[in-house]
Amino acid sequence: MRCGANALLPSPASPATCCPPCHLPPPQPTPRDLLPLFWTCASLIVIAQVMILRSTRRAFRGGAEAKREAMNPEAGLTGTARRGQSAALEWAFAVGPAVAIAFLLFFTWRAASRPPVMEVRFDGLPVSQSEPAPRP
Amino acid sequence: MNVILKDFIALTKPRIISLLLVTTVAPMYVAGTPSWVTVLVVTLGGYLMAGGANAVNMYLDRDIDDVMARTKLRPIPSGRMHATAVLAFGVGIATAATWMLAAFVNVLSAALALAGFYFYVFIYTRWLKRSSPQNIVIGGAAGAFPPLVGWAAVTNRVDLSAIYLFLIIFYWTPPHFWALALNKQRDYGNARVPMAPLVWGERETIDQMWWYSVLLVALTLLPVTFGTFGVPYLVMAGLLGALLLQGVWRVRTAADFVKPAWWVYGYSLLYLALIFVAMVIDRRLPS
Repeated sequence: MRCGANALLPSPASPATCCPPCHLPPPQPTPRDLLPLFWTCASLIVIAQVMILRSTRRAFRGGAEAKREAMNPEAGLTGTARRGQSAALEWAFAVGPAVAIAFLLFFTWRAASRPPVMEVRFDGLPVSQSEPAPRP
Repeated sequence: MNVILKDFIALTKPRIISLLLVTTVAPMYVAGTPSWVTVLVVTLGGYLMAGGANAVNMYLDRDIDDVMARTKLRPIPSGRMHATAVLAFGVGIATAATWMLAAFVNVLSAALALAGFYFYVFIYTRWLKRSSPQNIVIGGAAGAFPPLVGWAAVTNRVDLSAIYLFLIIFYWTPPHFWALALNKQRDYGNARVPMAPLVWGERETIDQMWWYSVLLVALTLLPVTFGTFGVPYLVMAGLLGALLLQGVWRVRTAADFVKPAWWVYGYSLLYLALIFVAMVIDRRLPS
């Protein structure tokens, strides 16, 4: 756990030595601070994924088959190329990762916007923090 | 004797495996504090599994390896090794790796490593490599299994953070391999491997390289938002990603893409290794 994330309850391994002069932890980004980063990255990912799908569609429309035939002017050297995939399967290859990314963004948003967990020390002092990912 | 040993080592493609091992071991130190024995077994098991997959790949691709300049000196096409012996060697060391991981680490890490082996051999090499211009998009998943293996070796589970590590490699693969394919079109054409630049054209491939890179860089930053990594990682990943984007942009805008594409190919190798190193540094910084 990063210093300051739970500064009122220092771990035995790291006694309260975060900022010795003022005894205040250095400011750490809270989940609320990080939401703009999430939305920025998510937007970039969505835009990039849409552009990849558009490019793939252009590539199919652009006479992919003709280019494939023209791929090797010295055709017959090896004769190893197998029959191409169907268009539907090629689309599945393009759309599959996009669907996976959509699920990933949903689960990431859920993890990033988790409400803060209120921990209470045995002496009654509240330690408010969002549950961080386990750190070694 | 020395030549035979060198050929057996060459079958495992040790230079490629070195990066795979970085992406296996680094997640172990992100996930927790593994014992050195676990790290040693996972490293050896990972090497044998990936080496086995590479050897079987050389067996299956022996016909096209013979016509590609960069592969025709491999042990089978050059006639130094018999194809059946290579297949037996590949299957043998992959089997040993499965046993080693299952017996000394855990069954989940062994199953994930074996899944990566099967994906590489059957999905990528046998099916997609010679039939689809998206061969390395979907096939890239094979190279993305190592972080799952490393993560599972320490935690005995796969969670959101581990899936991120998987996807980082998955989305890193297209810009990396298309940078190579752009400069090796003649080789791939001779072997009739339908790489994207040959089937879609150079412009479309470079366009996709750019968007895959944008997606990749954004993806590397997202684990910060749910607390897996902190600000030090955010800064390092941001800088490394900016450099990658700059390189791919040069490929996109240059009149002649040859030099920028070689740069992207080389830098992307370093980029992936350094991203994983940055993860470990971030997690190991004193609290």
